[in-house]
Amino acid sequence: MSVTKGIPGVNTLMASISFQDSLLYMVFNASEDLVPNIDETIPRVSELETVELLDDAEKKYGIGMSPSCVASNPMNQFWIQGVPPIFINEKASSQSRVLDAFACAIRSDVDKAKSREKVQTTRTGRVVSRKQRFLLDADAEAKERTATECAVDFHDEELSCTSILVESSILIAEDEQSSLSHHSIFSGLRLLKIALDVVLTTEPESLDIQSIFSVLEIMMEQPILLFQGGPTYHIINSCTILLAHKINNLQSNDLDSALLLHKALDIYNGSRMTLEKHRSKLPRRLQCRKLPTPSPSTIISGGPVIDLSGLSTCMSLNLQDGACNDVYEEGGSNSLKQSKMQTSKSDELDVNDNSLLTMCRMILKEN
Amino acid sequence: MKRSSTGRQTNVRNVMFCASCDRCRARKTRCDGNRPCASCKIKYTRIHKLTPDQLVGIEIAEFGCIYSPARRRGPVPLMNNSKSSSDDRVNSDHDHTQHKKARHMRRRSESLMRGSVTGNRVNFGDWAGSSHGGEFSLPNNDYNFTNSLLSAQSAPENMNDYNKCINSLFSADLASDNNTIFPLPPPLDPTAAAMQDHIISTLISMRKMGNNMSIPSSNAAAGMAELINQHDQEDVLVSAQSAAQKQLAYVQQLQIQHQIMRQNNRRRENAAALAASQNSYGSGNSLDSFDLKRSQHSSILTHESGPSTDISDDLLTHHMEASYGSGNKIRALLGDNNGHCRSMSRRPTVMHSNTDAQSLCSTSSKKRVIGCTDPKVLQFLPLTNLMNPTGMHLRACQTLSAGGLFGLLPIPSDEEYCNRFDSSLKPQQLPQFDVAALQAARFGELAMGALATMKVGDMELMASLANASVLCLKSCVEEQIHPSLMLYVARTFFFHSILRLYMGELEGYFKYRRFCLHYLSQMDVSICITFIANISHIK
Repeated sequence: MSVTKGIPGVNTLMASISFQDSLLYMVFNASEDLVPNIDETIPRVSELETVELLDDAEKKYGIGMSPSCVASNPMNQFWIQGVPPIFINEKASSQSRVLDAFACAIRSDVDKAKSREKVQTTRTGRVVSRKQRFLLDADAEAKERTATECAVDFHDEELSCTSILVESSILIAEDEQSSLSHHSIFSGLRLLKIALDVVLTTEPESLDIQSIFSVLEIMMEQPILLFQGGPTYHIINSCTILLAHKINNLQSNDLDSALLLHKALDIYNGSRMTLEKHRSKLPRRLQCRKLPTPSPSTIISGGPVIDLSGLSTCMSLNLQDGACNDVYEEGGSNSLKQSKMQTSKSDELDVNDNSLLTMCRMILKEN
Repeated sequence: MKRSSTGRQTNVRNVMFCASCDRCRARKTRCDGNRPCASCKIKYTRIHKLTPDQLVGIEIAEFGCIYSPARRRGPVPLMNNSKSSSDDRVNSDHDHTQHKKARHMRRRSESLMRGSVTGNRVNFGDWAGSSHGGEFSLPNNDYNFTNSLLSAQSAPENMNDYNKCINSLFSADLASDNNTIFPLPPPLDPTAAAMQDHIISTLISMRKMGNNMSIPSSNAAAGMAELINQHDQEDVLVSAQSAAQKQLAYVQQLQIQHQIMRQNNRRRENAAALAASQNSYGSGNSLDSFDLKRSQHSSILTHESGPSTDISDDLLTHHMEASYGSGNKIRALLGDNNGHCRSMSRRPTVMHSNTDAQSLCSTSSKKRVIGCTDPKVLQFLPLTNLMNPTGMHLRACQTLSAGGLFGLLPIPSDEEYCNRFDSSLKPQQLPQFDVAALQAARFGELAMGALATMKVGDMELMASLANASVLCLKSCVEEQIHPSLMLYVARTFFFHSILRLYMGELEGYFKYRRFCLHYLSQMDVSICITFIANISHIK
């Protein structure tokens, strides 16, 4: 059985699922209770009776790395979480390992943001009205730490954001020597790496504006990369907000600073327009909040160039509707109506979907 | 279409359909003539484990209860029905003679029609179309052509239809260079080309004769009498036409064989060149390295599906199962997560003779439709062609977006997939559901490309391609596809989950993802089984 652990296609697909899942993890704020209940219609993948942990990494982290182990793990039924199974698998391709590592870093960031939000809410004593019910209902669950959080705490040296991104950089560098991933038209992975470095690891004060420029320039050169799956759009949106913070802190005292400010404003405007266009193509649940336009009048008055009220540098807190707040909103809100409209539109477009799902469901039930 | 009370369908041109559905006719069981008939309902309820009450609201097409056009038997009725009974009695002898002549004429015409249709199915089926279970599904012009043949065949008393059919057979296109009735590949062999020209010129001259013999449609009875008078001339014409068609078909077969031989030779040369370029890698430019990447991909594919020479027997065994057990839906690749695959127990022992299996595949493939033949799939099928510009654009967009990031392996063409197992294997010999699985993966890839190029509020192309992929998936999920295709099916489910997500259906994302996980959970098991089966065969 160990022969099949090295199958490149399977691990690649599994890593892709993991990366895509990280977006849903963000949308649902790491809470499985908020996920639509599909267990009744489509049964979960049955757990393997015995999982043999043969590999060193398997023994170290206590999880199976084979596709059947990952797919049948009860923890992974809605999204892959916990220890990144492809990242720790040295037999998997570098690209797959990096992608799975990114997914773990994003999940970890969502967990951090969630715990930060909870602390802020309780400390101030004022509960944000939109999130009140969510926090109360999910209080019992919120006390429990997520699988990713536990795994990162337990293996902090290997699975912390910083460690994962450093390891990813090494893997990407190795991969670039042996393949074409360094080529400009295949720059999706590199873009993510730089963007995650900006968003996750660096402190906002010590942030290098040039790295933000490089991320946003790549994105503007190839806006198609925003469709490359996972939370790419959300990560780059956060980078743009970080640039806005930098712009607000820049002072045009001398010529160099003025030139830098001018360039930063240009890049911000270009990125904002590109991101807004992409945003208009997305369903409401995946949209980030609208990026504000710079107001030149405030420069004269000495105020911030860009009004960033209501925007966070954290990816998961910038979603248009927050994390799954549609469920808890009182009826009649515009977002819910639009969400329903989008669903009905997709129903109109696809006529064969239900019969396929019914067919698959019956096959699974028969077995 | 009109529907009679018993459910038999009759179109406006009085085309009669059989009293029993195809399934009842094949099984020689009593059919109540309803649509769907009772036996088809029972079969559907057994397959889907439903009660009769739950059949309400299910589309009729789901039952697979099909009524084929009836071929009229017995004497041909007189064309002029307004004659009185006394006149009939007086002219009974004359009518009897007319009947005999007309019957003889009809048999001739029917044999011609059968010859044409059969020739189209067998000889041109590789690229023009194919048939399955009495339902003809030819794309583009051929579809209409076959329909006209069928209508003429089912209602031979209408001689105007017959004449239209003959005229369409030898249409003006034949006379010009643009030959659409017999779409010939460019002549490769000079002898074959000369023979082809000769036959086409013969057919054109016969067409002119046929035009001279056309019957005025205003007076059918007079036309019938005139036709009978020209009976002897037409006999000669019909026999010449059928002989010419046979010759033409033979030439086409020769040309196709010649083309295949050339392609095989070209492939060998390319493989040799590729091996040479691999050896010299290291000093090449970016294009060279890109070729290397492709060759690495192909080597990865080979690695993934096991040794190509060893696995061929497994595929042939798989084909045997598919050919023999069309009703034997094993469905073992999903479910049964206890570490073993149920298909293992049903898999017959590995064959000792490849030739037996190949002959079986070749005989069974003649009647098989390649892949999913739903019109919604056929509409977009040209996009899956590697040389189609729109398809290339969509695939490029997919590669530049999700495909590049995920690094998923390219989906092989039918020919590439066949070459993994055996160079002599042809796509037409693959099981229908295996081809459908490959088609589903290709449409999924194209839909992802359409997603990346989507304009605001316009997701029609993406949804149409997703629909085509769903239809192909429906054709293959119930069957036991080859283990090497499971990854592609799982990937297609994953692509659909992403597409649902961008359509705003979060629930759809989780559903498709769950199916993808079910496939992945069986992946290493099934591939191991293939591996073990090959090892056991080697031993």
